[in-house]
Amino acid sequence: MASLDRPVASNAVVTTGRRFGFGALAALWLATTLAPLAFVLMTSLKSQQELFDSAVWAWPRQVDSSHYRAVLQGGYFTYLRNSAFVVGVSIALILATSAMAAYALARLRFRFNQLLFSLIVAGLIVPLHVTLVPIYLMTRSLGLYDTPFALIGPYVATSLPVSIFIMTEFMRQIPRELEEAAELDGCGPFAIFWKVFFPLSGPGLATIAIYNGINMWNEFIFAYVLTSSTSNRTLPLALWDFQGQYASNIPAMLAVVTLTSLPLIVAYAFGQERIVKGMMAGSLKG
Amino acid sequence: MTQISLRGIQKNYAADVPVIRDVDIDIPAGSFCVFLGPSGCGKSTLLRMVAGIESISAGELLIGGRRMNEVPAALRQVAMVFQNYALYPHMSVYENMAFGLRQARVDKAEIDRRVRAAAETLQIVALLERLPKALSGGQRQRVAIGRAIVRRPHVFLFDEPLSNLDAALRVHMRSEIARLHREFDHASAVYVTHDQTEAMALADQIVLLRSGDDMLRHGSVAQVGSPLALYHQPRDRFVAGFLGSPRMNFLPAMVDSLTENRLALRLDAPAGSETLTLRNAWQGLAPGQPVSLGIRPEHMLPGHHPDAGAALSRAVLQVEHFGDCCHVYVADGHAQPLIAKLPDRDTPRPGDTLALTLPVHACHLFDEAGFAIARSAA
Repeated sequence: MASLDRPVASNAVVTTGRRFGFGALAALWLATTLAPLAFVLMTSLKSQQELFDSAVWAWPRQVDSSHYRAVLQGGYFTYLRNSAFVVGVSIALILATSAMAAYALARLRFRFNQLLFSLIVAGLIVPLHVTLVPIYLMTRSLGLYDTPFALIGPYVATSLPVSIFIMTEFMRQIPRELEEAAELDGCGPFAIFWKVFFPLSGPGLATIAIYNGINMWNEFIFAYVLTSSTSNRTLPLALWDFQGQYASNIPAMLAVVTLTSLPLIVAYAFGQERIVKGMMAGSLKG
Repeated sequence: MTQISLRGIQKNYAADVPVIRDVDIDIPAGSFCVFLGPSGCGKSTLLRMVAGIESISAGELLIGGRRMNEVPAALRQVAMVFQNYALYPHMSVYENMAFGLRQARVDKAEIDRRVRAAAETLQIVALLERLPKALSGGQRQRVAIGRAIVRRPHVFLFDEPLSNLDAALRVHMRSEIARLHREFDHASAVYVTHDQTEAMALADQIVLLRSGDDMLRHGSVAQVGSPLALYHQPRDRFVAGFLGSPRMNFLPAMVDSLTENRLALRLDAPAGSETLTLRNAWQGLAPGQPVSLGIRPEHMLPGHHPDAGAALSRAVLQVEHFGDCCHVYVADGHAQPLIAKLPDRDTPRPGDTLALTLPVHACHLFDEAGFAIARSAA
């Protein structure tokens, strides 16, 4: 009996050891990801003077919320409104366009279907900065320069290749029988898309909304080139207000960074389950 | 009452390579027709062509006497039950059943009446608000059938609807489908399966389909007829071998001599050549003609019964017991042993010698090309 017990005991030791190992790795990973956030938050609560005369990782001797007040009393809400508008409209357009394109590419039979899909996916390799000058010139000639609308076009266009790629692969996983059942129920291609495929693509749509939403929320270069006035800038450009030619108010800039990240963190806290499901969509059959 | 006619139906995927060839069948109005065949014979494709979700490469499909080749699926008055149910996962059972009627802009009150009536018939009233993911396999199958029923189609199409269910539920649902078809006697039903038991149990008419080179040589349809006609009068070796479990035994033989009443066949037996003398019940045989003697395992009789037919003696290789019967495998000197299905009592043991009588009325002769040799009128 003793010889039978021994492997059980050693199995328990292995399991406990493994659990401890995973726990230690998870704690290390948590510390690594939280460290920048903690640094930004701590520094944003220091005064300018304390920033220079204390250690980088030291706790604030005295919490100084004046930078937050300055940011909130400045143009923060204008920037937030502009960001929300640009990102909201862009996401709506990206979802609608990529879902319809993906349905056609995944399910409709037409000539050059594969070629078209390959061309769209090839759009992923175009370097963003190569398009900057032509887009700037086009935006000026269309009279959209320095409006929030100037950003929507480039944001949608640059997000479409990856969005269509993800959605096409997602829609290919939807059983063909559902499409055929809908056809027998009297649906044409658009009704099949709208009443069957679109509702079933929720996880895929969530994935591209989150992925593109984060990218656009933090996007700097197009916003910098295509807008100039304070009333049309988006959140990443709010840093501008606290950066001079010869000196920068670093705690205030980090207060802006904190407030810019806050909506994303809140959205993640509330929609965590949905977001994780979205990221995992298509990985398991069923 | 709607008759379905298929005239010279063909399906090609790649150019000039048919997967279905020369299908000419009439499915009588109100009947239950089963498309049966091995994997890859195109039975589901044929069903999908009737449904309108697969195009027809050549030939003509008539439903109720009207050409349907170009008519969209939704306008053919057909409803289909899919193998994996194909229920819309984001809709409740009620919405799944009502979806087709809503698409057809049927009045709301009428939709409600029909859905509830179908739910009563199928005993799924308590499930109407549930999503498909909250249902068992059998319940999903009922919903799939309910979705077909509410549309009051002229033709029901079933694509292997029971293949995802466990054995006990399959038997239950099989009888449910038969009952529903009797209740909806205005409608014809076409049912696809590879399970011969299902086909025999449900069909008024079986269409047995061939695959591969045989399909290219002879066309897709091997034989059309009632289950018993196919079982007792198979047109060729393929039909004879496909129906029946265990499959029919085939003994290679040669006509040794024959008179009007007596036929002697020379068999390749394990211990050398062996002559089997039977009453001559066939027409057109000639001495020296190579034939196959076919006999179903369940028709072989243990022991010598000279009045019934000729007997063989063979060594027993293996016995499988099933309680109600047993399968006895005996050596025949060929790759495939002979199988006899006998009552499961006083069974022989491996190594014993077993005498088996082949009753003449149950013997089939096939020519070299595999076609059945006709029996004489007497």
